[in-house]
Amino acid sequence: MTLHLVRVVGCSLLLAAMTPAEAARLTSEPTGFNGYTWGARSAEYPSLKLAMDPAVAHPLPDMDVYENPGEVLTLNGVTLGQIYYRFYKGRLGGIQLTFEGRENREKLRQWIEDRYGKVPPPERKQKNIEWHGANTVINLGYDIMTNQGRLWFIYLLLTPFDNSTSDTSGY
Amino acid sequence: MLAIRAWFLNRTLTSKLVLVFSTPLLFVVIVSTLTLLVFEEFESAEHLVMRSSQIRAQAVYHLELLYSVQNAFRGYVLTGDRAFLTPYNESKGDLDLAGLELAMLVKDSPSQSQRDLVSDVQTMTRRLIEEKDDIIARIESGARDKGISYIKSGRGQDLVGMISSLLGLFQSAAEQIQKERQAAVETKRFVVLRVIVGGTLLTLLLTGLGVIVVARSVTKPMSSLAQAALEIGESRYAVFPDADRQDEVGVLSRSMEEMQRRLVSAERLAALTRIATSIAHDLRTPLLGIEQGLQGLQFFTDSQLSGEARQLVGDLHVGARLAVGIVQDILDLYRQAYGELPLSYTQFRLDQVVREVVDLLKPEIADRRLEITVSAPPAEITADQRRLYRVLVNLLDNAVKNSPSGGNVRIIVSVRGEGSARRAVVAVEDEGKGLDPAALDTLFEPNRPVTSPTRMGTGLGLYLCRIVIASHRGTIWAENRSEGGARFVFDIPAEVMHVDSTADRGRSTSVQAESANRP
Repeated sequence: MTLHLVRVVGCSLLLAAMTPAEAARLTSEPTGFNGYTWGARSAEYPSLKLAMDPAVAHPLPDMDVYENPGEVLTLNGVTLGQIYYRFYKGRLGGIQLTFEGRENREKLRQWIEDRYGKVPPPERKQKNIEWHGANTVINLGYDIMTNQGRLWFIYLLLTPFDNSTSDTSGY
Repeated sequence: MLAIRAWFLNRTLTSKLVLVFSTPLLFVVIVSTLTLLVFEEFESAEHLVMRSSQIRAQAVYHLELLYSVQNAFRGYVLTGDRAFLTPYNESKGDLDLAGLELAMLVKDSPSQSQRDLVSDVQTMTRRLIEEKDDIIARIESGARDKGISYIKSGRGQDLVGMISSLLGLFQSAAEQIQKERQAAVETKRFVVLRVIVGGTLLTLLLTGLGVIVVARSVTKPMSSLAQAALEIGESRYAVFPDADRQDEVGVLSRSMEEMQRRLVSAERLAALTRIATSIAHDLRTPLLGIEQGLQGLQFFTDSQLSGEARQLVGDLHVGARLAVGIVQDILDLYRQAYGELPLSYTQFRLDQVVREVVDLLKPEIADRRLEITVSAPPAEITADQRRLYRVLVNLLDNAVKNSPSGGNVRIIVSVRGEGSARRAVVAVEDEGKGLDPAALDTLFEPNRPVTSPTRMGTGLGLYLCRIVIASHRGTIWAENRSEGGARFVFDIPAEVMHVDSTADRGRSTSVQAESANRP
C-alpha cells in the first residue's frame, strides 16, 4: 500500500515537472550577433560577400544572403560551420549558423541559456528550441537523422512576412 | 442461551472442537475473501491511477509536440528555410499518433468528459495542422500574402490556446479521478484494517470462550467420573450426573454406570459362589459317608430285605451318588474358575465305566421305558476316571431326559489309533427332538439359556463336560442326527499325554483346561 502511494505521488510529481510551458523568453534582448547589428546595411561590413551557393543567396524576394569567407566562429567549444547573414531589403534581419552533432547542440543550448535565459527542462528535448524576445527569436534546431543542426538569430522587424509586429505568437 | 448450551454440550468432543476451531477458520476465510476483494479493488484503482498517469503523460507529450509543430512552423515562416519543414512534418506525424494513443488510453475511461475532451483535442489539432499545412502550401506556391493574413489573424495562437486549455482540463479530470480513486482506496484500506483488527480480537475472544467451555465440558464431568470411580472402588454406590448427555462424557458415564451395575451383580454372584462352594465342600464328606454307608447297607441287606425295600435302598444309594456328583461338580467348577482343574490319571476300562453309568441311571431308564444300546468293546485308557464318569453321567442323563418314552438311546465307544496316538471316542445318541441349530454354538457355554431344568438343577452340566474334556486335551461337540435326535461326541487321548508329577500325589496330574472345539 505504501509502495502504491509512493508510486502515485512520484508519478504526480513527475507529471507536474513534465508539464510544458510556453517557449523560453529572452531575458536579454540582443541587438545583433557576433558584432553584427540588426538593421545594419550590408555595406557596413565590407568583408561580407554574397553567398556563392545560388540556392542560398536569394531564398526569398527582397532578401540577400551573405557570408564572410574564412570566418571561423567558436561558441562554447563548438566550431560552427557555415554562417549566413540575411539582409532584407538591404538591412540585416537574420543570421543562420550550422553545426554538427547532438553534443554540440547541447553545448550551444548551454551557451545561449547563459546569455539569453534558461529553457524550461521539458522543452530541451523539442526538435526546435525557441527563445522569444520583444523583437528577436533565437531558434536552435537539430535533426538526428542528418546529424545536422541550425542556429537562427531572427530580427522580427526585418522578416519577409511580417515586419510590422514583434508578436510571434500568431504563427 | 440455555438451549444453545445444552445443544453444544450434547455434541461429541470432535464436533465441539471443530465448532470452536471453525470460528477462527471462518474468520480467516472471511478476511481472506474480503482482503482479496479489496486488493482486487486496490489493483483496479492502481491500474486506473497508472492509466491516469499515462494519460496525463500522453497529454503532456501531445502539448510538447504541439509546441514543436508551432516552433518549426514559426521557424519556416520567419526564415523561409525549408529545413524547418522536416521537424515540422515529423512533429506533425508524431502529434497525430499521440492523439490516437490518447484516444486509446481514454477509451475505457470511467469519465465521459475525458473521452469527449480527447475527441475535441484531436479535432482541433487536426484543424490546426490542416490550417498550417494550407499556409505552408500557399507560401510554397508563392501566395505569401495569404500566409501573412493568417499569421496576423492570430488563428494559430487561438487554436493552440484552446487545445492547451482542453489538455489542461483533461489533466485536471485525470487528476480528479486519481484523487477520488485514491480516497476510495484509502477508505477501503481503513475498513479492511478495522475488520482484521476487530475480527482478530473477536475471534480470539470467541475461540478462547469456546476452548474454556469445551475444557469445562470435559474436565468437570471427568472429575465427577473420577470421584464415581473412587466411590465404586470403595464399594459405595456412585451417582453419574452426566449420564444423560449425548457426547463422549455421556457415553462414558453410562458405561461406568453399567459397569457399576455389573460389578454389583458380579460381587453378589461371587459371594453366592463362595457360599455355594463352601456348602458343597462341607457337604461332600458327610454325603460321601452316606453314599458309602448306603452302599454297605445295600450289600448287607440285599438278601435280607424284601424286593420293595431293596429297591428303596438301591434308589437311596443312587440318589446319594448323584448328590455326591453334584457337589463334586460344584467344587470342580470353582477350581476351574481359578484356572486349574487337577486331574487324577488312572488306567481303567472305559467300557466298564460306561456300563456303570448305565447302571446308575437304570431306574430312570426303566421309568421312561427306554431301550439302552451299548456298543463298547473292551478298551483300556488312561484318564481321570471319576471325572469321565461325571461326563458320561451328564451326557446319558441328557439323552434319557430328551428321549421320547419307549425310545432308544445308544452309547457307542471306540478306540482308534496306536501307541501314543490312540484316542477314545464316545458318542451318545438319542431319538428326541434334536438340538436347536441356533443354540449349537452356545451349547457348552456356562451362560446358555436353560429351557428346561435338568435333574442336577445347575444348568452347568454340559459346561462341566467341556471343561473336563478340554482338561484331557480332547474335544466335545454336539450335532443333530439325520435320522432325528441328537448326538453328543467326545474324543480324548487314550494315553496320558502330559503328566505333572508335582501337581498331585501318586499318579495325579494337573492339566490346564483348554477350550473344546468342534471338529
